[in-house]
Amino acid sequence: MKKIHLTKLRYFVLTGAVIAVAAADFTNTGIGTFCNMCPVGFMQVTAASRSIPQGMLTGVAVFTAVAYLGGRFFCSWFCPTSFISRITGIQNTAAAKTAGYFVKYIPHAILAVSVIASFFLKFPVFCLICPIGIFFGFIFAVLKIFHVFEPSANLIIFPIILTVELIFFRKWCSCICPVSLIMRLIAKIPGYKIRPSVNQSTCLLTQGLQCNQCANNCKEKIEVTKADKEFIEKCTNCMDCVEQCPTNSILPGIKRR
Amino acid sequence: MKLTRRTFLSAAAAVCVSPDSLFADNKEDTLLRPPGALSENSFLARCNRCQKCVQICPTNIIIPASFEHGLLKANTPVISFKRSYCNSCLKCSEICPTGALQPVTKETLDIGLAVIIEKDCVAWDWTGCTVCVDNCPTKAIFLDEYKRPVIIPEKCNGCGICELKCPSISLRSSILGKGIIVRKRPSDAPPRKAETVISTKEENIEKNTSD
Repeated sequence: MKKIHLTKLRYFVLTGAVIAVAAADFTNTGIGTFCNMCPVGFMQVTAASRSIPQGMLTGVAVFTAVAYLGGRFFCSWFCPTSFISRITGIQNTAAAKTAGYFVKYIPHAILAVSVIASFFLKFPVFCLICPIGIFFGFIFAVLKIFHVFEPSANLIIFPIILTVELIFFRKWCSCICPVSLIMRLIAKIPGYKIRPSVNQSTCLLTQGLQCNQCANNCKEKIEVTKADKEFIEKCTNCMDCVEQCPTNSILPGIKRR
Repeated sequence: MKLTRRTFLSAAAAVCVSPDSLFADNKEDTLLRPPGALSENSFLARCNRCQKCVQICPTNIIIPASFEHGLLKANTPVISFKRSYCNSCLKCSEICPTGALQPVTKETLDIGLAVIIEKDCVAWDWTGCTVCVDNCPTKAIFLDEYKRPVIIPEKCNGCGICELKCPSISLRSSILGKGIIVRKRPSDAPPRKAETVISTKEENIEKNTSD
């Protein structure tokens, strides 16, 4: 049976999004960027302006619904940070399992500090350093050349910020990113979840063989066969385990968990 | 100094706690914002840099601000009349998802106020140039008794056609800037009067193609 190359498909999703954003710029249709469905941006703008940004409600609602079903779906399929770290080979590693209590709550602290700081400083604070926003800022800096025919400092500074963030903070996604934290928190709500599920009858591990290909290839260091609480919370639905399973025992599926 | 993670973090923290000194470029408080923009501080509080207005602008005059205006303002939308002008379609003010740009009508549209740069305006030292007067869709510029352009602040909506069309640079090799530039309306300038009639988008286009 020919394997489905879902991981290859992943690259086309972000590339497609970038093409759509650029095409919208040239055809003058305002589709915006990921910023319009960002729950962190929504919270910060609400805090900074002391009013609810009505236009963002739909986007945030869709994002929340998708996060409820697919967990950290955005991280592996849409996020430019994971895309860049994959293509450049900078491993955006998950936090170690033995990480202390302190490390575990850094994203919570960053989210709280960003929202509180936004309230007092009256501008969305985390947006300034958010790598997702900076990635699209770079795309728009490139598009700007076609409109005013002159390059701007953004063309150099945005890639520098992105590089610094990805090189100095290898564990950005699991230890800093508040967007990822929000998706983890939403994923905790019980109900129907789309996650890779293991067919125990064909899995080599249940037959006593030392396979463990799924866990070894997982970027989030999840023991896929265990399907515990951590799995539901951390899984990004990247489908690496589905692709790596030698017996095709892992398939994406919807289950009540 | 070796840039370790710790020094980077502490530098980042220092930047975060003192935004006024490091981000806010006070002399740059004159950035032209898209139509319907709130006052600069409320605008920065609401703008989530989603770039919808940049994408939707049919004349591509809305561009993301560069880092030269400070980290805080980087990527927020600003107006540039280098290649085009505002045709007052007002799509940007309608699409803004956060309310940083409030819906405006053609009567209340007020991007800025055109200012004559007397040292660069050809008509100020040598009569004959009437390009800005001819192009103004709101009839906000008239020629005084010496044939020099004068702006009526109540009528000007800052659409930028005058700045775009100003030929001063090509007329004199000694002139390095445009003779008329749209700037943010100063607080002491009279506000725009709502009853001013603005020519429609079609008329503007017709006017420009006939030039």
